Amino acid sequence: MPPSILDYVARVSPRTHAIFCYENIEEAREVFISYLGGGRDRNEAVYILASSRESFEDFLQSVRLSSPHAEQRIDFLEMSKLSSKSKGLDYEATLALMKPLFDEVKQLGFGGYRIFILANDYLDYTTAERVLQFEKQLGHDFAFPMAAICAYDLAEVGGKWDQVLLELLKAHGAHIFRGLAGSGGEVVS
Amino acid sequence: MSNSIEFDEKRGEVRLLGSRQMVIDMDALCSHLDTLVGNQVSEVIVKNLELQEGKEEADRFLSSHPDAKVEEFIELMKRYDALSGVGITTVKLSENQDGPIFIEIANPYIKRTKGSSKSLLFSWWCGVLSGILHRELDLESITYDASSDVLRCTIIPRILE
Repeated sequence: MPPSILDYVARVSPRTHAIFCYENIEEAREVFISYLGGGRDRNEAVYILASSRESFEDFLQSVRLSSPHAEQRIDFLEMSKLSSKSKGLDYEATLALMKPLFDEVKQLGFGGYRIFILANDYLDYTTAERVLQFEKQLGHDFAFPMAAICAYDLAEVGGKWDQVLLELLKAHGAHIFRGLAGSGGEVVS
Repeated sequence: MSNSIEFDEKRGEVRLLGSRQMVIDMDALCSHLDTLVGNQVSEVIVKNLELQEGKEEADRFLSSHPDAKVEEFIELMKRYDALSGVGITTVKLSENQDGPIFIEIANPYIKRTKGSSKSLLFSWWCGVLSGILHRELDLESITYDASSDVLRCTIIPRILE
């Protein structure tokens, strides 16, 4: 991927709600490593939101990082905590989980935190249409100082996102592709 | 309506079947889009665009020719393909027009079957046929036969889940 895009990923600002669409794990690796590096430079904790610890560890293995990462905090957030039995993926449950994290990471000595979301794991809980509704609820920017990259592996799930893909792109305030990234008036390629 | 393609160099205009167009290198545009956003995203973007364009084309035709037969419209669109440089198009409908539709483009302008190119030619046809047959259709498969230089596609009625 172009260095300008990886630089954009590294310095993504707090409150950014970004979507990253990729089709091979090497693209995901480059983006995640850059995101991780940006977190280190800014003294931000890095979390991966996944459906299970197995999925979290599989991802780290696929991007050739081992868990626990020796140098830096990469912690696991469990996706089931964002959902309720009655509502599925739930905006209120998400806020309840994410907001207190800021104080927790402060106590650990970090200045903030950023999350990398294995968005395909959402499909373990609900449909693509419901995920779209949830992403829309989250808005273009977060109301609290958290950056998140929602990483959609388009190759893995055989077109399951296709029907909602354009709306998913619109639901996010920042966009990361293999040759183009940007938010607001800033576009890098 | 003119029945061909007209170039007016003095006015800097190209008109295809009477409608003003602009000649651009769509193959280069598709390749660039694929490079920027990846094959799958570009495929969805172009699909969305072309499907809509095709439906609008059908609406325009139906409103100006309310009594026209499906075959007449398809003949016009095949001519549109040939005049605009898409290639030589053949459309095969099932007897009752309710089954799969097979489209072939010989000597096609675009020969790739991935990314935005996959959507460019046939999503437009999918939109056109959805419009004139009054039912939603989807692309099922697209293949390219290099030995005969033919791009083939199957369009099927949308399966509602």
